[in-house]
Amino acid sequence: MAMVSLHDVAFGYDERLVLRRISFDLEDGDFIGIVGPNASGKSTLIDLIDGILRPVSGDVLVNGVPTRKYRRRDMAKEVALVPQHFDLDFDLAVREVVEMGSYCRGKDVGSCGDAEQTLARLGVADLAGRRFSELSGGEKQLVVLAQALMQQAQVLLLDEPASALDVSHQLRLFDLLRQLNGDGLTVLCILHDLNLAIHYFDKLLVLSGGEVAAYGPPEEVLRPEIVEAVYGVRAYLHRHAGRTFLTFSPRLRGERLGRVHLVCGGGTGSGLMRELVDAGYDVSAGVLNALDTDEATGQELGLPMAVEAPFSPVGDEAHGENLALMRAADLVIVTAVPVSHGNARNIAAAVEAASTGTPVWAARGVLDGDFAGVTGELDPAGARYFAGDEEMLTALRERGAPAAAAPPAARTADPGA
Amino acid sequence: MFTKGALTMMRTIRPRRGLAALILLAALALVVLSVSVLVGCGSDADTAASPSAAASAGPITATDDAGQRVTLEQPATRIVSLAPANTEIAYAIGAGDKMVAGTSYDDYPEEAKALPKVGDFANPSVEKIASFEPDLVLAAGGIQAGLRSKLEKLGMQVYVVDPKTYEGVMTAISRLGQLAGTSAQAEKAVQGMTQARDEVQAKVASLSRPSTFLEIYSKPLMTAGTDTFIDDMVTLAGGANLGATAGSGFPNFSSEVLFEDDPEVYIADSGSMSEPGAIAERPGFADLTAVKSGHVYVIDDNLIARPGPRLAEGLQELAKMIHPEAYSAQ
Amino acid sequence: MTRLARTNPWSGIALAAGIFVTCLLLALAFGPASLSLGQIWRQATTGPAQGDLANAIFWQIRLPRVLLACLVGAELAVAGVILQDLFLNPLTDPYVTGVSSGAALGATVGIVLHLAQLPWITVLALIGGFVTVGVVWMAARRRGRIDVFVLLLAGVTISYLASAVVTVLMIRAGQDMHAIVYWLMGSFSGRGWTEVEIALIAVPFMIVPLFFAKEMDILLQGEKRALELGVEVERTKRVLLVTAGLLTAIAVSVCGIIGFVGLVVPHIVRLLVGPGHCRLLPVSLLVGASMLCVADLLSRTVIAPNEIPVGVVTTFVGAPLFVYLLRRGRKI
Repeated sequence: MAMVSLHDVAFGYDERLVLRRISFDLEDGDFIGIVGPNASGKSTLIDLIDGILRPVSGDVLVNGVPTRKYRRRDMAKEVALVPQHFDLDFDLAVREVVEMGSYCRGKDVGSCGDAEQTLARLGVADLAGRRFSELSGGEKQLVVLAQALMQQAQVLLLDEPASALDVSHQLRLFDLLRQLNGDGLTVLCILHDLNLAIHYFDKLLVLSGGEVAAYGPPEEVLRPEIVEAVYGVRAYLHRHAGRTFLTFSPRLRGERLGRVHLVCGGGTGSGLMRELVDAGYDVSAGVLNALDTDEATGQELGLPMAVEAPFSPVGDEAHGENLALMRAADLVIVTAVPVSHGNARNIAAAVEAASTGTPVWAARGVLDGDFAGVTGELDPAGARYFAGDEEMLTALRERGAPAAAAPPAARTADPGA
Repeated sequence: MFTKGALTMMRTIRPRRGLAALILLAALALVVLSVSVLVGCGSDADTAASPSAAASAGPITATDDAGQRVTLEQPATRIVSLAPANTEIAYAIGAGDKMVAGTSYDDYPEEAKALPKVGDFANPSVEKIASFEPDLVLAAGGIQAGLRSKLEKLGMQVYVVDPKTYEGVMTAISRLGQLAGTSAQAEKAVQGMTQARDEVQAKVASLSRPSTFLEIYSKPLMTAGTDTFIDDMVTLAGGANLGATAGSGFPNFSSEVLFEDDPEVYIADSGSMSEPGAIAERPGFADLTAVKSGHVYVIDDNLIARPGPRLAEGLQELAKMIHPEAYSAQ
Repeated sequence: MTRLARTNPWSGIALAAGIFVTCLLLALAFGPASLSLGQIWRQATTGPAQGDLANAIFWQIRLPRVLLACLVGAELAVAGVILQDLFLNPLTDPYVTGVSSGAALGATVGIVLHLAQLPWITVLALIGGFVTVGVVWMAARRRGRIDVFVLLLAGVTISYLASAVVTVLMIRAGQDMHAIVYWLMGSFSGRGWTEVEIALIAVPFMIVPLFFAKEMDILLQGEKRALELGVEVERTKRVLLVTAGLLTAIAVSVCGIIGFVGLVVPHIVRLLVGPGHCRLLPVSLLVGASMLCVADLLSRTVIAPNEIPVGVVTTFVGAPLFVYLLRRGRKI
């Protein structure tokens, strides 16, 4: 039986529903993060699980029992909550504040453990004798966490515990939560930093507009297209030193910088791919062989690509896809990829694109690495030559968006921005 | 400190229909009450008494109890009284037909009840007073002190009646008689008072003075101190006013000292809501001399609290209470 | 002293108890009647007896009055603690729920109807106070919960409403106006054992909050946090608000409206022993009793046989004390 179970839960004030169709199970030992834009209902969800709010429809069950049947004290023994804001204008000692957490345990204080012990577990035993009002934001957060731990509940809910903390405190807090989870605590944590979410949590629940937009492992759930749909910003997934992280750029309304198609391979295009994507261009590539470095980068960035089987020459199907991609592009760039019979057709495709009016830029180095003798065709087709990536990018910035067919408004967008 | 909490609360409050209704109801109730007060007062306006004749020549001047000189070109023809005592004086000096308005507390003589009202003792309406176009306004001291300048600015002559002694009351009656052109009648009233005093003095002057406590109010215990006509009357009636030891005016008096000083006579003013039987039953009172000897009385408030001609009666009552032995023989 | 009070939970209470006993003894030993300490002692040990005025002074006048002052001081202080911590507002005094105005209205009605003396007027005042608590309560209910902010607003509103009605009755009351004014002024003059008996009704209500000390501590973090930590907030609020209302109604009905004590004593005590209710409640009770006891002693002795209104004395005694403590810079 799941520790916490929500079944088709809806909640709202008056006629306005804040959450709807929420179905979700929290199993023993889970370490789950909740993400979503502001006002997507994350805090409301937590309050529903803790029984502070009653669902308008559907059931919220804790250990199989609906929350409305719980007395507060009993609920506090099952579920502990660490709030985002906590007000205490009074001059209480940290120890006293932490001890308030054992209220629900009533007289069995012995089974609670000391306030000091709990603080020690969080690595801040030295705070016990201080006045709560004198602590820094990070220290207060840990004290409130200690207070919640004193409840000795099996489920710990946290509402943006790191929002007011600096980087080192943030990391320390999440490391602690992982530790506590390792010791048996089931954790459900709202957070806003998607990269921390990816890094720390086994599964993420993405809320958007009061509904569950996605639920699953972070990399599955925080795909750029989902992030874009939920948050309204452009997201890019990167892998670096064995870790995945997201970067973002705001999506400008009506903007279309343009589509650049890269003819590359063997790693010559990876850098450009990233640069162009970061600069805000739509990028496609082809034809690349599977397992090729550039193909891997393209996969990572989620680029549309024409792909051929590993170590195989470009086939008709792939070639056709490539041509289609080029037709859809505003600019074709040929990198200094070694050209052989296997990928000679790519050059032909570029030439064909040039003949239909699509600008083609090529790195001079491609001429040197031409083992198939086809690159000679590029020049008469009207290709421009550049020394390397840098020059091309500079030219892009200077020339403005190459989106020939873009609506007038987009022309004012700075391509290099 | 708490302000964050209070501010948070203030920020999160949303308009509630129930609360809005409550506030509206309260405002409505307030309006209804105010209207009822206004309607209640002065409903029988404009039945002004017609002035009588008898205007003698030359301006008349008199000094009132506030030390101000009051001058009238002719005897007053339209008089407004701002205190029940002053109303009584006006009727006693024969100027009843010149009265155009009184206070809502005026109840003596009977005719006074029919007078149009200007409001109550504490807060008479200046506009209302002016609307009667009086040539003489009889004010009291104390709370009404601030009224004088307002009324005089509107051109009215104000005579403040605030005597501190029995004699002072007689003087005031006399002077008002002059201002009203009814000196003859006024002198009769004064005579009545003099007579009463002389009678009482005759009976009690030679007797020893029992210590007397005059209770003006019981919770808190309040009495008449020095510089009041009540104190003067107790003295005239042959008593030693215990209240005089507590200062002037109407001081709060300590129950402990009351017991310590153990007066022989205990007189409660009827306005203090005490009954003689009830007084004797108060805890510990059974041991007071006054209680043991049966010298506990209640006196009609109107006879000793209003500085007017009825003080004569009040004086006699006091004397009977303080020196019953001087009266029982008769 | 304050550091001591903080470390040892009982030392603060013991100290306050000591102060209270001292004040009580002083108030019993001194007064406007010039009785020597020896005489006082003799009367105290004799017990109430008839036929002796000194005995009557001690047993019928001074003792009940002193006890009444202690009881009322304690009642107002405890009510003040409860309300300040439920409303989380430092400017809250016990009269903010409208109880005092309701009690005043009850007493006024009694006076205007010429119901002689006690206990009728006191009883009507009590009824007026209770009814007001009920009305304000109902105005503040939202979906079965009491919104304390709305309660505050409703209390203030109804307070003004009741006061307005009292004013109207006063104006129409004629001669009785004085009686109403005197009733409203806080005073212990003329009060005796009857009032003490009524004030004693409040004693169990003063103890009730002690059972909710932990809950009140947790509620300092706000109602939501308290719910999260397992406190039955609505039930706790109900009990505490009713208790505060009763304490205030009883206090006002026996001696009129004495200001300052309920507002300032909780703050003074917080500055001395901190906000934890296990200490705050009993120490406030004792300090409130002491303060009013001493204030009454001063009010009846300084210009004897005349008396100063006790509300004036509480302000003159309490305000400098409060300012001094504030300036020492302790956080409330």
